[in-house]
Amino acid sequence: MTELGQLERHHEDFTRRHVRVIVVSVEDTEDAAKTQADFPHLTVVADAGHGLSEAAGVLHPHSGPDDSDTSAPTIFLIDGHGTVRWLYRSRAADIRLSPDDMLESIDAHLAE
Amino acid sequence: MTSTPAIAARRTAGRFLAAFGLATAALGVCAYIVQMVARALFLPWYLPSQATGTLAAVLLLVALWRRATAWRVVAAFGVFAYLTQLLADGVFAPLYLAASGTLAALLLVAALWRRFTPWRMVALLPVVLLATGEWVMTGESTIAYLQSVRFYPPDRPGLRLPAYTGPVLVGESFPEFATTLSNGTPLTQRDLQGEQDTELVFFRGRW
Repeated sequence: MTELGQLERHHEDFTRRHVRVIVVSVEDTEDAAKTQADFPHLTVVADAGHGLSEAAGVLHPHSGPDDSDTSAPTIFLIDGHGTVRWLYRSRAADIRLSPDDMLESIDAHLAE
Repeated sequence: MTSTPAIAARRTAGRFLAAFGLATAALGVCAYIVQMVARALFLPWYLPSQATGTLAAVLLLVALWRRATAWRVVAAFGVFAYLTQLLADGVFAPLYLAASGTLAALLLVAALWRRFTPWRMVALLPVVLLATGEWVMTGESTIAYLQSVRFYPPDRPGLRLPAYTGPVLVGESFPEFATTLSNGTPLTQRDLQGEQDTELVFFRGRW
């Protein structure tokens, strides 16, 4: 979860680009509230019902510590019209984009 | 007949390299902890430990080549097992960590029993703490292993991710959905539309 700390730290860079960062996991509102408290500038979604994760097709079966399904780390860049402009998934869960990479992708794909 | 200086030289041969190698391996763990505490896990989290681990492995190999001791064999085993598992994307149950840590503690106890020295006493505490921490860290995997008598397959719950094959397409509208924010407020596809653009970041969870 540590990458959320990086996103939080760079929140002004996202705000400057008129981009809000919504972070999603399949946890319940109790855990999501803790995450929200830790990262107040991000918008935290409690997708315990999988409504968003299933729609996005990111559920990763048996990937949780208790063999449960969790979201495969994936990033979608969506413009103000609701159109997907870019998506990213790394080849391994421990390889994550840096905030700088994400900001570069925003500049590249939303400026088009 | 072997002279006293020769015995002393043999006794200390490679000692610096061995100590340096072990310290380097420990440095990797420290780097990981620092990275975690600093919440700076934007690079592959194992990168510092992989680099220092490789250096540790090389140094330990040199030390082993100069003089093989049980200590050095154990240390080299731990470092090489870790690197091999890491490079194979198979860090799913790093039981070798707890095993090598425990073995190291036992060896230190044996060394103390044979001859008490302050250095060995001082060395024992961090090694015991390290072994304890490693058992705690691998506890869940250990229990799962004992229950199933098999290792987790590399993708359960390993690090490799399947390629994205979901319904979302670049250039198309994001699919309809309904979910809730952390405070229970509903969130739907329509909320993504407005003056702001959105970066939607899916992550595993707090664990």
